[in-house]
Amino acid sequence: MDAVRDGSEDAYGALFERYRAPLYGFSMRMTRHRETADDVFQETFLRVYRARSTWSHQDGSFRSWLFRIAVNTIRDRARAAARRPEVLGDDWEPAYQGAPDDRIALERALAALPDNLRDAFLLGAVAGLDHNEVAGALGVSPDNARARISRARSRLRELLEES
Amino acid sequence: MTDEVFDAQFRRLHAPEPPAPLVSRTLAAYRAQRRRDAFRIRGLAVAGMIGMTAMAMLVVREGEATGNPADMVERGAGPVLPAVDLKVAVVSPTGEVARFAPGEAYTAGTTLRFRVSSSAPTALTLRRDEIVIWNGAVGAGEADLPVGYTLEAGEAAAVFSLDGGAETLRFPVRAVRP
Repeated sequence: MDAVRDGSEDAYGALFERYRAPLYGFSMRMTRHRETADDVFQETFLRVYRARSTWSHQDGSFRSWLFRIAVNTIRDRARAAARRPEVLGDDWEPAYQGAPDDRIALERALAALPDNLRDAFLLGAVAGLDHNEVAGALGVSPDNARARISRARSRLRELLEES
Repeated sequence: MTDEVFDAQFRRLHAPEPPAPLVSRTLAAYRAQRRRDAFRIRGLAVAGMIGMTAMAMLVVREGEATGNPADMVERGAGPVLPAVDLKVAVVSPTGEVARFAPGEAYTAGTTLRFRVSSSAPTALTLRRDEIVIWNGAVGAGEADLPVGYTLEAGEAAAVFSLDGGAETLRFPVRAVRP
């Protein structure tokens, strides 16, 4: 990231390659809408470039900073739309039916989590950020991040047992 | 099940790759932003030098210098996505194979099979609505995707799409007959 801050296109490309899949997966599962996820993905990487001079090691890890930008982008879009970001509601559920295997049950359970638990769980348990990084990405304390992940896990267990 | 094992099953979920057109678009937007920034910096430097000697005569037309980003046109050899074609076959529960017919209501147990042809190697993503069914790379030429999709009773209507070529290919499938 230091090289990106200094204007290296190669360094930016390396960061893009490394984080594009985790970021896209996070965007897809948070917004549950492809076009919105596409917009979040593109806007996040542009914001990384535009805000590169503001990044500092003191802010924590780069990926925590990256996901914080993504979370803020998603929230900005939700605020701008004055509603949840293109949540599909009734249209979303049928999309799972008939999918190849029981991974669908996991996806459904994830989709049923409230946003403030889903983001914490996706960052901590799926993307592999530690509690401090999750806290940095979500703008909460590490204890709060840990509690959210724990609550998300409990809720997911319940949802999977019900399914 | 321990927390670690529990979490691991979510990590094994399919991680959707950003579609190739989105990747190209994002990198193009980044490069356009870089060019605009560089243009501004050069413009400021030049304006500064000229301003030292001819401040009264100088008119800096920032708007013209940078242009409207929405009107900017990518020049030069940008990424060119290959021409991709998709054929869908329908395999009935009894094993009969037929060409897919848009608008046809298929019975549960029918499997869709996908054959793609591409003008060049590319990464493809096949979706049913928002759900990624498969993604991976194919070479130039024709290939069968290593995945089928079996329709289930009560399954709602959906749109399948294939990304990765010059244009997204879409085909609708009606609700499944019981």
